[in-house]
Amino acid sequence: MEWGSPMRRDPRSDEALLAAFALGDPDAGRDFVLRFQNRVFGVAYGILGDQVLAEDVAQEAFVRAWRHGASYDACRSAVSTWLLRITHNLAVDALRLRRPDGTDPQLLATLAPATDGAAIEEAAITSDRAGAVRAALRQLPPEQARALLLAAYYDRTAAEISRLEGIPLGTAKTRIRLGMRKVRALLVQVEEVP
Amino acid sequence: MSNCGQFEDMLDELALGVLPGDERDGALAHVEACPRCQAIVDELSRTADDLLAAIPRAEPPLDFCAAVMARVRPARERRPAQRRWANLAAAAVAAVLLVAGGAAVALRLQDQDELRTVALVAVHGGRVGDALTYASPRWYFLRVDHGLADGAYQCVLDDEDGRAVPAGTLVVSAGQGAWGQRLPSGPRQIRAARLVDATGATVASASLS
Repeated sequence: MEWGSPMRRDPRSDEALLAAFALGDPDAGRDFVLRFQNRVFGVAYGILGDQVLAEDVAQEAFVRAWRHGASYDACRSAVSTWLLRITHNLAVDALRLRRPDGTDPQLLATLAPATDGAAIEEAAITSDRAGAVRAALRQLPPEQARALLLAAYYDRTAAEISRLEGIPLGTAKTRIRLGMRKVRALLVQVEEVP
Repeated sequence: MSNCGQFEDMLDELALGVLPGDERDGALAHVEACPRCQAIVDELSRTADDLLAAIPRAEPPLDFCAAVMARVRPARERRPAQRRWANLAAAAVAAVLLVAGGAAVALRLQDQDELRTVALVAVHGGRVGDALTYASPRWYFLRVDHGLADGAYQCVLDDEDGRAVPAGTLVVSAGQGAWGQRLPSGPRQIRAARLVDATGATVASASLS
């Protein structure tokens, strides 16, 4: 939390705030960081599983946003998507250098345990898209969820997943594809809930 | 396009950004020319973004915002102690070294600003890894993280006089490999680093000039 103005919320859009931050407006910068820091740090910590390293990566993500904010294209993605993608890429790079196997089983276990199917409907009712994605992941067979998350979170190729999981390459590819398509289909269901 | 079937199994990995370089080039060329597959990749890319946004939020340390703002001040105002990312990069170099030779080499970097990273690009296009250089003492590192076939590649440094200096061997195993070497300081500048396969063909290069 930013001391001195804990209750103030900048009413500007994400795009306007980023643009002002990139131009060097320190107030906009602070508000931008405060608006996104929990999401950015969450991705960094989720992937790295290390508080200190996650803080370094999350800081660097904001520095990159500041440095490259002028080239952000609102037509291509939302600011949050762009920023989380930057964070993800930095975290994966840091992880590969730190741990050659490049995975944190804790995140996989957190996001993809077997559970009941009611959660996705609940998430749809509350318009919690992230919750809906997590619920969709829990509806996948565990081996599909694991393959999908190894690819989506740790940038593991099918060949790497094949080796990590001790399965044929074709099976790894199929698990990624089926997992991805099923999550997509479940999210479409959520979008169709009136 | 009539050859959608050839690529449709690759679209999920393409959207997730994990399709290896050789397959990715072909898939991208197809998708650019095929509105149907482009639409599928767009949808799947949104799902990939949704997956990332589903990682639970977490609260950073209390001084996080102040630390970020200290780093985005103009460079002349920055204090060296705040450059933790550069320290991480230095640690990364040491890690590359260890991976490279299996030998425990400790490198003390005196000035993090002398560390530089550029993309290692395949001759057919697409990034396959990175080249890292450190100015003084003079170190060169090459790191491959995807897109090259397993095997041994010769690392060649091209100097400004057009001379190709063989500098070592990088072994790619399971799609990954790294090499690092300290070279004697000299007046000649290195303008490029290349990886050369067993046939003598250059497979990837990084421009260092």
